[in-house]
Amino acid sequence: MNRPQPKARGMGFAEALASTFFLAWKNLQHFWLQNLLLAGLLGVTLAGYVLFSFYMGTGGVKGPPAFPDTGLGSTYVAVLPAPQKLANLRKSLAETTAAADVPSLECGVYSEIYTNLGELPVLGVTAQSGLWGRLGVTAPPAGSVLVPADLAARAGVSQGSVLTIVNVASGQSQTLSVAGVFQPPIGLLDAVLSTNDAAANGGNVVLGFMASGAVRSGAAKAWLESLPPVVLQGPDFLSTLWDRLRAQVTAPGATVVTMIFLFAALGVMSVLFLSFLDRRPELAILKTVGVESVQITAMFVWEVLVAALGGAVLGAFLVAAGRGVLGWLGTPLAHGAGQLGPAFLRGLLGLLAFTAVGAALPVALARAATVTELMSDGGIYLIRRRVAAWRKPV
Amino acid sequence: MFIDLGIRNAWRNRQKSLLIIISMAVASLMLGSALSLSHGYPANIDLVQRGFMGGDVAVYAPRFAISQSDLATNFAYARLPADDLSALGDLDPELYQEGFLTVPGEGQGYMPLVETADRLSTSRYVRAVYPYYILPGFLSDNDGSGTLAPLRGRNPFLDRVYFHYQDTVVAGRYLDTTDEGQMVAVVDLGRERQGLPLPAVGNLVAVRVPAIRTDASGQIYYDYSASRVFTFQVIGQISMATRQYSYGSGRDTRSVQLYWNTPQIMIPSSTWQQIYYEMSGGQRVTAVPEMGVILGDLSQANDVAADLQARLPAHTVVAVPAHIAVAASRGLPEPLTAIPPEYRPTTAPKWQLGIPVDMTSMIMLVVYLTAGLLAATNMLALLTRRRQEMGILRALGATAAEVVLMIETEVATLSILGVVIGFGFVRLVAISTLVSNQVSFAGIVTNTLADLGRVVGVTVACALVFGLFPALRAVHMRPVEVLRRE
Repeated sequence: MNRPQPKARGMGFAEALASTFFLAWKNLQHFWLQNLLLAGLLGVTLAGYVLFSFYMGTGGVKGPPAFPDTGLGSTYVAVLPAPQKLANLRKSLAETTAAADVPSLECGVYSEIYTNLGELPVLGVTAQSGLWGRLGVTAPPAGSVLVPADLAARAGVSQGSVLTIVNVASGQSQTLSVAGVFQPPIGLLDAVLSTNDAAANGGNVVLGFMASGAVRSGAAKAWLESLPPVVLQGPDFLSTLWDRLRAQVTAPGATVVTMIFLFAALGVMSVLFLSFLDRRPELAILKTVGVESVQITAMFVWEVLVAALGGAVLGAFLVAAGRGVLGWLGTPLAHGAGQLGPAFLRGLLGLLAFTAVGAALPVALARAATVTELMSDGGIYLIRRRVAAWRKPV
Repeated sequence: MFIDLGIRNAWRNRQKSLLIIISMAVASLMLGSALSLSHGYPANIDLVQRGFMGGDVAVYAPRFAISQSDLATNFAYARLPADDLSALGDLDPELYQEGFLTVPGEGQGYMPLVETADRLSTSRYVRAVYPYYILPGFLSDNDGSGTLAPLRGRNPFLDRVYFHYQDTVVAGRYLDTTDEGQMVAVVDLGRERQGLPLPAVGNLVAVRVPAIRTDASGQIYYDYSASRVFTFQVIGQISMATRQYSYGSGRDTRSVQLYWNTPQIMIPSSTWQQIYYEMSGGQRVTAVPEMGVILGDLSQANDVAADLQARLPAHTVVAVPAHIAVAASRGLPEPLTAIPPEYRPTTAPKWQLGIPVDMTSMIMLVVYLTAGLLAATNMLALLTRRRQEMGILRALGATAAEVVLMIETEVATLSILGVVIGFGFVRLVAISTLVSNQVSFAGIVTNTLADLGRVVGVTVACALVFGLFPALRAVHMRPVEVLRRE
């Protein structure tokens, strides 16, 4: 006889679990097909979550492709929407982080000039600026300009050519000679010239600045990124672009995942409701012989746990099969394969949480129903009576 | 007889089978949504914005919308020229300021006009193609000289018939077909809101336009050293009111009208083409940065955009309402300065527009697998409680096939009940979209029946497959054992 023995009031849940294992096991055997289907439902849910995580991007991040070196090193280039004093920037930085974290802070003029080659964003810096060294060129003399290689190739410009700068307000123009062609670190700049030339000819002057040297702390980087720039480009510029792109394309399927888990909770609730209604006489007898409510709960918990375990095993098989099919179809992974374990674990925890939610109401009904109700009422009427009893004010 | 019995049983047990109905209703609701709602928009959505961009679907020359399969390719970095002035400057300013990632060899600022328009016109959904004619320009008179005043060539017929731009006029009148070739212009009140000088109706406005050149790769660039001034008479002012933004709560709730502001000087398209001809040294327009595509209706706008994207893989095609929604989530394109800072919406992070991976079929597979398993589990539990009934039926001579038929009928009936609830709910919304797009009654009926057929087909097939589990279990019960146990 596997029936749990009556016990004095106050039994702990662990003790209840131990005392109801064999009864739950017998029930699982008796309703094997029903529980197999429930395990299947949970397995499909788990596999669905893991596969969505891997193909829609709710988990870890697969690394970006190998981009060419941006050439910025540890330099951040920011272009501000309105002129600001370099001294203010220094003061603000000093309040935020140690000055040693950003050894040098340089100022330049960022402007957009209108030329015979189109509208060009240019940076004007002083001859003493460290920028020239980082670009691998020497500062152009006054009245000359450096142009990037791609623009030079496109427009047929070379050293000694003439660049005409136009003042769109007056229509007057002046010429600058091309002092050289340089390879820009990234497409931010279309030309570089001395500060005076940029300030004198800029049609839309804003202040640019560069934090050069090593940006040594996260606080310094955070400060740079907290500025309200139109543009802020750092050494990880291309990777950041790629991350944003990936996040957009593989938008998290949070709604879908929640919907699937809700389905699982609905399934658990459905099965346990029907299981409870089907086993009313059995529950009545158990309660008559003194089985405690906690033991009734434990009995259902065992059954759900075993189904969830079965679901986990089945889910693992389905994940493997799903990956095989999607790989065969050529669907690329959104994440590295190393994220599979953590994603599976997250899915299992989510599944258990939603299963607990689904089981809560049927188990509460089984606990609360009296022997008389269990023996006399039809299923749906019993549920209505219990719900009415719970809603009745004390 | 057994089919009739199955239907009666299903109806009699409908309360006990509520979860089967609910699960199937949710599944069919999701499938119904995927089939109908995600494809289109109501006819009047974003009308002003669609008008400004010149179409219901926008085709942008640069390839900046990346799909999941593109993620596996090599990327090239690109940045649009600062004086390439399509509507992208308002919706995706980072494409100009920060640059973007694109597929190598693609992502150019201009696309061939005739070839692209021809490819678009082969789609039966495309009613008209509206090129985005734009040239850089600056005011050239004494007042506000040098300030931005791009010249935009507008098609008065399309503007009036499709986008009702005559309704946006606040002073004077809008461009008319009789204005084609005339030196007349319409300006937006947004110039004033942006702090730019606003030419009054009846006044002349002088705009300096650069010469148009073509580089070695065939791309257009502007030579500002060879500019020329064109003078237009201002015949009207418009104001592009886009949406109301409410903030605050309770009695303090306030509403602010938002506007799309543009510095553009809008002139008739043939006038614009004449200016282009003069400033390019006698060339016709061969390339544009953007093109609007006008559809017959918006009920399939996203599908059509996907189809056009497949026809134009080197460019970016997106339904305008979809692009507007992405921009609006980032507080674009309308300036939010009229809203107090503490009430401004939290803008979504900057991102490059991507084409989300289409997981619809996989989602549906998982949803129907779970719904089917749920139905099977539920039915199994119900049949376990009806052992006596099965025993009596078998004792009376019902064959296994007849019992299976009865149970399958029950499952199918319950599933159809769920489909009717789920699909009916979602279809009401879809039909309102079709009606707003003035789709004919016959079209709505055909569309609805086609979708219903697909949803019922998938749902019932799924229910029948999963209903076999409980049915086969039921027929394996031996009548004598069942009756003895009872």
